[in-house]
Amino acid sequence: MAETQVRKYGYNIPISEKTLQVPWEEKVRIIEEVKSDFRFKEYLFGCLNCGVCTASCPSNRFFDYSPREIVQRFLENDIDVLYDMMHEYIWACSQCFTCWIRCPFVNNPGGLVIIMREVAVRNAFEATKDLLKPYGRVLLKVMTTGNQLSADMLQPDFFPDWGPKMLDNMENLRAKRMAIPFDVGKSVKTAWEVSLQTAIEMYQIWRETGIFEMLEKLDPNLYNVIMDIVEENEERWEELMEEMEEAEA
Amino acid sequence: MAKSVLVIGGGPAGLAAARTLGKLGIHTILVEKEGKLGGRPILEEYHTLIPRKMKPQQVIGPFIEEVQNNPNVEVKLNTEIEACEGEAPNFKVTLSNGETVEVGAIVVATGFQHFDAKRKGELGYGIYPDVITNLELEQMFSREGKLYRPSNGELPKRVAFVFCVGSRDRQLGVTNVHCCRYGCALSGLQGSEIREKYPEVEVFCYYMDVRTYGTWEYPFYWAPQEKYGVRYVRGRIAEITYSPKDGRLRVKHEDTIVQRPAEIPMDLVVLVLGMEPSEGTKKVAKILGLAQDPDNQFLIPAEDSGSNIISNKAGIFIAGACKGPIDIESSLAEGEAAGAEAATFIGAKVSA
Repeated sequence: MAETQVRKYGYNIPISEKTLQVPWEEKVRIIEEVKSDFRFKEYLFGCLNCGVCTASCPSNRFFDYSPREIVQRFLENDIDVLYDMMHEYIWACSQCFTCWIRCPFVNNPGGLVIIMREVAVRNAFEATKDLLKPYGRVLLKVMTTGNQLSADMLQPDFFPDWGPKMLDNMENLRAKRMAIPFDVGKSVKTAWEVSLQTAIEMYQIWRETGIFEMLEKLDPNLYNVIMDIVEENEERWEELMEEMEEAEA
Repeated sequence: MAKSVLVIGGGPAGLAAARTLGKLGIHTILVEKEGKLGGRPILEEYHTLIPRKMKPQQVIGPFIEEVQNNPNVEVKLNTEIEACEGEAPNFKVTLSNGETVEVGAIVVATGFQHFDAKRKGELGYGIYPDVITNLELEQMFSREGKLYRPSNGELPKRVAFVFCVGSRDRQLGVTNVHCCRYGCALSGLQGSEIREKYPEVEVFCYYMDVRTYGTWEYPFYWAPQEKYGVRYVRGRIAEITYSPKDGRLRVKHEDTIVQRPAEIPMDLVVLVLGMEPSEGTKKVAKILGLAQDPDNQFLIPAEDSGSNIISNKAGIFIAGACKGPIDIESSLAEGEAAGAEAATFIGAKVSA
């Protein structure tokens, strides 16, 4: 057998061996899932390759990522490259949408990336699991309280890229929080006070939109931890409601 | 039965129409909004016209002279039309000076206006003095005869032309998706002029496509590169910023041929402006009930006619840049054709 020619895309990125081994029908199915999204036709038009998107793209300055390449690959319907992109390439997009604001032909590369990411997560791509791992604590916080970050998440090993000065900031968190001259909920566990009712309504949204299911596929351990908290809060809520009914009666 | 023809607009197309009508011995009323004949090239003091590299005065001057000297042509400056009653061949048109004229046919030559570059905020026009328009560059040449940076009066070392500002751009809405037709060629000419006079100045053209159509290909695309050393870089400028450190501008783009993002220092940036229908064109279209393109608002010819100058209203002819971007020689030719059409229209009615 003749050796497979190494196909490259982006700034000289070869298509991974893994992608080449995936059955063609499966790759087509995934890309069709992206293209059948209701937003897709509003995000992709013609492209003149003017490069305004890529020149405006902050991620392009630091990573091998070019919004123009996303648009081009969709227009070419390059199944292999698009499928390969969904494993690493698209995760460099910072979702600022400058590409969309500037594109003279109103293409939305950032929007295409959203759809690709959602399809990648829905299909529990291995790469997606790895990519989401460092965000476990953020996910835990978001899904249980609606807060992305809280003071108690400032731990030495958590944000190494924040620099050495952050270590000082991590001491005496509670006292520092109390010293803030406006109401921040006096808590280090949340950035602001989250009422139980708000949390319960949020869980309802996660349920209805299939977010819990998606998480179960991606990270069963995290799913269990989150569900413990969710169920505990839901029980508390039910008890509260019962107490209120009794008080009214 | 009215035997006069009204020509609206005293630019190249309107002048050509009035000149033809006058020579045919037809009484013609030429109304011009401004206080001077000649249209954009004369009023805004263009330096050199494409494609024949002649001065506006050389090209349009003789038309103005003939129109002014022809007793059949009545020129009314500082005048617009306000209302129109009746159908062809008996139009009753009210002018802004209170006069009412009875005409048998109308030639509309109300022209275009330049795109307002301030609408593309990311390009810094109106913020950085060294970001100028190609119109301002023309005026720099024609009025002062030299190239300089507005910020300090010095000769720039590097000049960038940014193509398609206000053209081919859906971000501005449906009104500016068309091509300006003249920008690529004029930039090639302006770049060549700079390089010829100041060989030490580097000139860069940032383009998506270069549309020097037809016979313009050699003089405005290859000659700038091969003869004058103008450099063409493929990529649209995404934004222009300023560095206080060296007092120079930065143009940011992706070189889409070598696929490389770049931020290049520039001393002078020239924005190549698109064309839009003039306020006068939009106003006259409403008054006369002329069909306009729903997107770009330019006038459009009658659907059932193959001719470019026959409007949707009988007895009304449209010529020049009120129908979309056009070069001056075509504009003159359309004016002449519209004048002749108007003459036959009236003539046919007279003989009947």
